Amino acid sequence: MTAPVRVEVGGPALLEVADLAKNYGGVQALRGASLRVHAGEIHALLGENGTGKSTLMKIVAGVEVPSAGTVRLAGAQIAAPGGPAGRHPGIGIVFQELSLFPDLDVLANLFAGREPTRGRLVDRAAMAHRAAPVLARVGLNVPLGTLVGRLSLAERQLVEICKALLGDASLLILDEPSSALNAVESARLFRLVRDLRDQGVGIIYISHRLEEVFALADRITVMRGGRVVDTGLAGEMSIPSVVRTMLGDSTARIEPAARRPAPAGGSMAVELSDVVVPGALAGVSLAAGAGEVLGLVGLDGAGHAIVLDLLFGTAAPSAGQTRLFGQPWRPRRPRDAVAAGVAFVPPDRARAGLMMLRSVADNIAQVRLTRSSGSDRMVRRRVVHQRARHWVERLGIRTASVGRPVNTLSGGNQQKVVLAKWLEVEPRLVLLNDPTRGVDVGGKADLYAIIRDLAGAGATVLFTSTELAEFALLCDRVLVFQAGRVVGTVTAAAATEHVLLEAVNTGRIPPT
Amino acid sequence: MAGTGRTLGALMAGTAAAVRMRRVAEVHEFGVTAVLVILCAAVAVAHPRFLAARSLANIGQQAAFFGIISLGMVFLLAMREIDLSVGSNYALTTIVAATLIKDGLQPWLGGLLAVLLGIALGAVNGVLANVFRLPVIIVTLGTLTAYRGFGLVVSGSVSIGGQPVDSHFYGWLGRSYGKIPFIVIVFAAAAIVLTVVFRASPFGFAVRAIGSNEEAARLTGYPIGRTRLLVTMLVGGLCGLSGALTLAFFGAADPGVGTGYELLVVAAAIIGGTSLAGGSGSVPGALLGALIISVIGAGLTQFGVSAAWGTFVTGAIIVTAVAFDAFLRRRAAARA
Repeated sequence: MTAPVRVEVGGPALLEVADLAKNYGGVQALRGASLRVHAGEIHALLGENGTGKSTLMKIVAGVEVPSAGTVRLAGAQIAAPGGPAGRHPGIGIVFQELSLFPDLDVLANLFAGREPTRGRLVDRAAMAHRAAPVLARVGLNVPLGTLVGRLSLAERQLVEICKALLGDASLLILDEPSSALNAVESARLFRLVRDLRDQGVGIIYISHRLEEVFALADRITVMRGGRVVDTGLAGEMSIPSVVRTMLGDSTARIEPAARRPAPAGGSMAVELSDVVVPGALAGVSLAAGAGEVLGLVGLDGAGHAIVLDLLFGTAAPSAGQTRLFGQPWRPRRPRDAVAAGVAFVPPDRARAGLMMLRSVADNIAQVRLTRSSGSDRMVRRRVVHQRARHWVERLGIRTASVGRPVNTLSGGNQQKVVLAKWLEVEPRLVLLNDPTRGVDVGGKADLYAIIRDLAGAGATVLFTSTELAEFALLCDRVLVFQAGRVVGTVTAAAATEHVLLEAVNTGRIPPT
Repeated sequence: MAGTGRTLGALMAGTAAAVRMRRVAEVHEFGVTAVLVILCAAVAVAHPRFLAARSLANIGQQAAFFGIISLGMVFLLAMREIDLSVGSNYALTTIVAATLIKDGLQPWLGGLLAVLLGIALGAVNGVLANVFRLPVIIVTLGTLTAYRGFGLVVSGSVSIGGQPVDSHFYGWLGRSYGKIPFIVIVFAAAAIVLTVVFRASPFGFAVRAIGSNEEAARLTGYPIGRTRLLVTMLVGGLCGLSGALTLAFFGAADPGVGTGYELLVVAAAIIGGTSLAGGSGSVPGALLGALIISVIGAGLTQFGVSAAWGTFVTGAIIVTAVAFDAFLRRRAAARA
């Protein structure tokens, strides 16, 4: 796919951001960023985590007030230092961390904060009436009375987008909109974004997936260290050049994995034979050896993620045999799995992976403490901090100190903390479900290296991701799942994004 | 766990009928109503006079004293907050109104003053919570004692009588209409109004949204501090309202009145299906919950069991209600 090269638009821009700066206490998140976005263009905003993209967007959306600089929408000033914070109706935003209300239904979420009223009461009929065309446009087909907490991540993301579209926004900001979506859902999102562009909406698109950005964006702006360092037409830029700009002086750090041959026979670390999980797995057999990184790929609901749940004790099989390190394996709860040396990195680190308000050190000590015994029963602060500093150094976790709360770290560094807490107990089987979601380029490269080191040290790694390009970088073999079955195996060398995309959708595996 | 079975589950549960069914299960009024009816029936089988109008009126009145406050507590619980000062607020408004009326204030003005004072005391809780960024439960842990202490100072720790009880204030607000005590009528009316406010007003939406995900509410632009303040004022105002009606009924104020109400008030809301996890609640459930607590007390008296056992049984019911709530949540999560 090539990006359409759009002609330079004359006249005033839809959005004009001039010399924006923002201080949080002593930290300068933005140091004079300027940006122009025109109506009817998809404008990608790139940069590693912690470069000020999200801060910039929060100011544009009116959630934060700038320390210096101005924001104009269609010529009218909407934000300036000292001004009141307040959402502007012309700007719709989809936040990176989903900002929905799980206890409210779809309709209430769509109109949150701007419920239409009749008399003094909220008019649900009017809400349903106005929501219907937007839901159809986005392709979200769920009953309006469903509580949002019961929707899948992908469905929730679509609710977010509908919410942003409902305000008749002339500018739409999408912050990592595809990070939780699978290939099909992403394709639908891209179609939607292009449609909106063609209808004259200005779109700011933030993503760490560069292939996606180049397929979609008309114009690209790169940020580094709170400043805009480059901006131009997408057609005149390339992925390598953009990566160099994003990383600054440091060079691009991602290279494919050194291949290992598929293990031949012998004792496998993990063996499943004809395993059935009602409604999820319809008879799956697979095996992975020590030191192997095995990829599991499929569409949402294909069953690949359930394999991880099964091995960790959060999904129960109704039939079939599972063996772990040669022994029959039937964990009744995660605690059994942890005791057996199994580690699990969940896709939703904020909800299932970390204690966000606790310190880096406390999080890293977490798993070890559940396994403590004998003389190890008392938590010794000094030891906990010492171990934490070891991992901070070893994994390159960027934090001011190990005593800082985890929520002050960037996404990539948070994910390293999740890995560190498991590495601390030296797992023999590591289950990774979308471990690099929302992590920037530099952080991803670090995580890949850590995962490959793990396998190099003899651990078995089972890996799934919504980002198909990762399989070729990381895995020795990739198993393709469809409707609860394994439909084929792709070797590492053949596992390009295109091959996997076709495989998960059609079940066709190219011969090797 | 972000399992992969979700899409399938959403499809299976995708019919409107299924959604309606789930909503019935979510708001627990059906279950609470059943419990209330069963409790009444159980007592009535042994003591048919339990169902006499006078007995039922008494039960309703006992429930209304703290139940009125419970209706507001539902809003606070839905915001993941708890006000522990309600019993002291209720007592202080009653004492202050009674004292001023005894000293010559017009009784109707005294009643109005009780409500306004309740709102002001609630506002103090809300302002302290907002300014110092504290949970309301922490602030009210302090004001619980402070308001009670102030009440003791004003009353001199003795009961305040000397009310001009031939005033219409006592005559109209303290009597029954067609055998229904006035406070019960107020209780029911307030429940209806607040049910609508909670479920259908923008304010109710804001309350539930903030309790469901405060960070998202901030990003969405809901006025969190203002909403919290308004809810603490609502709870305070209901304390004052109940206090004024109590004074009208008894024609006197006791400095120890309302001691331990904070637990009854929260218990009624929780028994009625309001979750401590925030985001949801049921105003009619709180009314039913208050009636259940009252029926248990009256029923045990019928059987000649001491009032102390009533306290014990109320506690046991709270534990049962919370466990049941958790069970329903887990089942709902498993289905999703």
